[in-house]
Amino acid sequence: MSEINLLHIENLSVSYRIYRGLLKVLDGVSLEVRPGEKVALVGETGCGKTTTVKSILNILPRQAIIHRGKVFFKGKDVLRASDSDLNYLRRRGVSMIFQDPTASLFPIFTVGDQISTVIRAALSEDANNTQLKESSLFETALKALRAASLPDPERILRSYPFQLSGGMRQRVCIAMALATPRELLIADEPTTNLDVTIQDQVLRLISNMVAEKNISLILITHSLGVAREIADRIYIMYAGSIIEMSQTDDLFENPLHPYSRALLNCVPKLTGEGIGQGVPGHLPDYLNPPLGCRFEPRCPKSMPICKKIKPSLKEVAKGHFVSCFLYDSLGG
Amino acid sequence: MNMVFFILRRLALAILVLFGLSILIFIIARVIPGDPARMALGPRAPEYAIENLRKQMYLDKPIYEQYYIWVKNFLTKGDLGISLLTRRPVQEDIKEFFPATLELVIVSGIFMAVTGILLGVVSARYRESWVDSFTRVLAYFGIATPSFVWLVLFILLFGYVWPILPTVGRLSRGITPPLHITGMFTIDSLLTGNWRTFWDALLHLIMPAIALAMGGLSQAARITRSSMADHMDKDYVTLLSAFGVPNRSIFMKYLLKFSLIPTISILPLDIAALFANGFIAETVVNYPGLSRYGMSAILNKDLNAIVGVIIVLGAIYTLVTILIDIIVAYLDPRVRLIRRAT
Ligand SMILES: Nc1ncnc2c1ncn2[C@@H]1O[C@H](COP(=O)(O)OP(=O)(O)OP(=O)(O)O)[C@@H](O)[C@H]1O
Ligand SMILES: [Mg+2]
Repeated sequence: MSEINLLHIENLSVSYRIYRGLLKVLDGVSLEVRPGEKVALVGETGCGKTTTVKSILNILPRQAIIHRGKVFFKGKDVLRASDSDLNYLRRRGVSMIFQDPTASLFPIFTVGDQISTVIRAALSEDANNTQLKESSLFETALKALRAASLPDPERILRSYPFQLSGGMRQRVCIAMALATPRELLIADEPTTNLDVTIQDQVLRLISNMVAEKNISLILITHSLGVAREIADRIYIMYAGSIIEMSQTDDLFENPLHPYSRALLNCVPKLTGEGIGQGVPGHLPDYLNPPLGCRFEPRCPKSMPICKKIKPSLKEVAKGHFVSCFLYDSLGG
Repeated sequence: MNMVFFILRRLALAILVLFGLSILIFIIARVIPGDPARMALGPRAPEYAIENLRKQMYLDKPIYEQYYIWVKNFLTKGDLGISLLTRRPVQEDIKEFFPATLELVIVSGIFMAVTGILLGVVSARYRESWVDSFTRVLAYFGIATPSFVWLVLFILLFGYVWPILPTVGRLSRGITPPLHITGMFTIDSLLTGNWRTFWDALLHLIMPAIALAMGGLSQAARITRSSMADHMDKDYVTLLSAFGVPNRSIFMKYLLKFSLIPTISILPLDIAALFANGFIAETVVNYPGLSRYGMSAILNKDLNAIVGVIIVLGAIYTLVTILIDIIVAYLDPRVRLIRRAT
């Protein structure tokens, strides 16, 4: 199984150190991506999606503590990687589109400057490219911007981020992420911070580019509708754990976890924002998370055992995993 | 082109400000109690001598006329009037004392900038390390302690306990001042190739320069540290490392320039303030500088000297402010371009 995985996150637990103590955010997350596969990671705000994907590039903020777990990219352990493996991972393997396009670029440097820095780093990984010419950098940057459907790319290269609209900045970030060859693209809520009218375009752009280059995708989204359109497989996350995972069709036909069911019940109302609002209650306090199932306080089907023991992710039908005692012999 | 216009406008504004300042200080100097002529000539001088001096200084005329005469003399002849204390033209006094203070401020300013920024950068880079804690403690003391206290401490330590530095004046006895070129002993002795004098003049500058730098240095370290630490957590930094851009290049090329903007908009003012703030320090080491001259002018109600010194200080301040604006506009395109748009 792990042979054919491009990415494999195994039982990852991450906390954030804050003034008042430890925010125990990720609680044993596992996730896999196969070559060419498009995977969606869905969950309400604050459930730990960004934390999960930042671990893939080993760029967790310095307050983060990794208690447990491993992240393998092409069989190599990312969190304990050597410098050269890490460089390969970041320059050639995986690229990420950050959640907030307005915060992802240095305000006082031009777009061209930052894109070429990124491209230069990527090309320096290529042994044949030891002699980098500024002109080829420039050409690559222009090509990338054009591929991201940005009009007048020469002008964009000369612009500062504050001179571009949010949508343009997001396209610049997409261009950066796909300017040089990659094996996996992570798109962290690429449309949440954009105008509704261009959300669709940006999403289509990403999915087209990924399909064209045949690279794998992890798409983070609040919207099950978006996930359904794009992903082959969906992970549903709640409060730092994957609570359900299956093929996209399977999930929509037969959602198992009470949380997934509640989410699906309010799909028609979903326009990208407000996931989880159809479910009464809110995320637990990460300082003192529940001992058992983290969804238990909100769960309409709560049982005594759910308070005491955390259910593990189990395969209940072929390729359909859920972590809930309703589907566990223990729960019977 | 726009930048040139901007600078010209700022310069015009600065002249206006200095004009206003001269009026203000002219009036203030004259309304504070005490008769300057009496103070200059002493309590036992006869009344007619006092009257004479008052006439000579136009003190018998209404204040607007006095100001008119002062402005006319200044603009036409560069004449700031006679100092009551030294009995010389004020501009001559300033020419003599200014280079000494300038020299001190330059050395102090370089030390302030280099040490402050270095401490700030290193403690941001190694957050929560011992360097960071050391800098934090040093900065608290640096900001809270007046410069003359540092100076007295340094003099005790390096002048008496472990006497390695001179404690008085600009040059040691037996060393002749270099040929007057700029009036700054270190530079003049370098220009004339006189190493011994250069070294001696430099040694005399060390303690007062460091003492004067402590406050600004601490502030620069704190500002640099917090600005840099702020930026380090931002997405634009994470993004570059996520793309495998080497840390060194993120730090040297991007982070440093961005983080130094707040420091750069304050540090030059801290340095300019040394021209005025050094009077106790200059007095402690008997250093013949402008600060000390200005202070004794105020204490003795030496009208022309007060106005002259304040105008010089005001000019330095306004010029430094303009300089800061230019540098910041150069470093931060948002300042440059957004203003242009409005
Ligand atoms: N640097 C940090 N320091 C402290 N807490 C953090 C930090 N980063 C994230 N957290 C906390 O970790 C939890 C998960 O954050 P994360 O950004 O992974 O959520 P998310 O699922 O991406 O949410 P969103 O949909 O809003 O982006 C949140 O409660 C958040 O407050
Ligand atoms: Mg997020």
